[in-house]
Amino acid sequence: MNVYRRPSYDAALDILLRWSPPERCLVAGDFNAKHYSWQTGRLAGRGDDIAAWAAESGLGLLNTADVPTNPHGNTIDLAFSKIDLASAVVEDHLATSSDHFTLSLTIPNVTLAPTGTPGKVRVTSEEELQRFKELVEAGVCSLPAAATTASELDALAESLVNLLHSAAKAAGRPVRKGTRSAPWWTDECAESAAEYRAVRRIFPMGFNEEVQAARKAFQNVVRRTKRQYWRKLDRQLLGQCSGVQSSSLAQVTQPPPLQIDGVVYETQMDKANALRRSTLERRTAADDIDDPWIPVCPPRQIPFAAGITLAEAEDATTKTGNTSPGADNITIKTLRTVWGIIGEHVCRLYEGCLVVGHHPQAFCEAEVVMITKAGKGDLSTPRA
Amino acid sequence: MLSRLGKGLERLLARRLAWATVHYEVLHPQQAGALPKRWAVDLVAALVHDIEEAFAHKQVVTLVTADIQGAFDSALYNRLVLRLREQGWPDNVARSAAFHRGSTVSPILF
Repeated sequence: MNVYRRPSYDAALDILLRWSPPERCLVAGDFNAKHYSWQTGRLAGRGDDIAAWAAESGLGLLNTADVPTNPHGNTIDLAFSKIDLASAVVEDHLATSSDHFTLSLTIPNVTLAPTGTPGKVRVTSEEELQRFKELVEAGVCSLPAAATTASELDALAESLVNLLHSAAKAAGRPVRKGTRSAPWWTDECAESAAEYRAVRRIFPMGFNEEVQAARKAFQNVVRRTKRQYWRKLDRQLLGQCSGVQSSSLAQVTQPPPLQIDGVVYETQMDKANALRRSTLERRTAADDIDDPWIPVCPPRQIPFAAGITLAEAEDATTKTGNTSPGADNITIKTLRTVWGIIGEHVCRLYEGCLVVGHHPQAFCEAEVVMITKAGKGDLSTPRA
Repeated sequence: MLSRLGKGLERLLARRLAWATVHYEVLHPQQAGALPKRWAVDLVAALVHDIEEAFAHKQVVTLVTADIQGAFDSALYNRLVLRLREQGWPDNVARSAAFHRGSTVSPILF
């Protein structure tokens, strides 16, 4: 629901305040109103009515209090929602033609796409990790308590994975994929951009002289490196009249279509299925035995403790040399940050899995990436 | 590239299996893959020893090597469960271990 409340004109607001919002909804807009729950100071523009209505309807304010949404230092563009883990961030660098700042809203889609396409996110900076931790802490109480049957274990595993994923999504930045930085962008540009951002942070309202000077300095650096880059390329091209080599513009290797027994597979899904069939399913179920539970008399029983200590679970989960993120994009570092919160839940999940002998569905998702090996000529054959 | 938490579970299981395997001498003492305190170099040392001993007795040595393609991937679930039970693993362990064929536990299972 998008709202605009014209100052001292309440017809639209009255309609809104009579409305009871449904479960999954988002109310956002320019309210031109103040209340101490979003801005320290005096009440203005029916802020108390809006705050009371939000509280009654169970709507949570997504804004961070006292983070201004316009250049006058006021927090008047508000977003409310009942959806857990929804978040709002003022993106003052995204300048539109509006005289207000851009409010960026993120809504986790937990029920509609449970573990579907996980968008790549990165949670790295201190603030992002801190926010991630807060969100996980807020969501951890909703994890199911039961962990004894296979379906209960499935539910617990799925909630855990979803919680971590949606918290990471709300706290982190999306990873730019398929794009690369401009060819002329250098370390000097990056440094200059960081300096400019730092100055912008000191003066959040700001269109003052210092900000302008910083922007100018940044623009000069960009202009200069651009000029240098193209001049150098020009000279190179003129130098090698015999033919243009495209080596300076490195190409990202695209996996070619896969070819098995004369059939060509192009989409990711088809490729994955075809790969599995040709490399893994060389034996069929017919080769397997029917019942593995026939009585056996082993020479001895191997003792195997059922309990798992917190330390053992922590060790297995967060201490490993391999730091690549999993399909859920949770890296070891992010997991360590919240181990204190989710540790006991992970531990009882593992324990349940071990006792039942179950592997949760939510953990079965995998990602296949082609890694080129030197000396493998035809990349379209399955074993290459 | 499985989910992080999934990998943790797998690793926990693998470590326990590996430890119990060595401790209770489930496997042949000269199997070395993915086991704690064993190393492929141990096998090389054993092999070199055998060869040198044969030479000392003025004998000829013939070496046969085999490589099984996709060995871990093509293990069959039910057969694996039965085999593990025959070795004396508890039923729940046999069930979960067989789930993880094609992962860090597979060299031990094999």
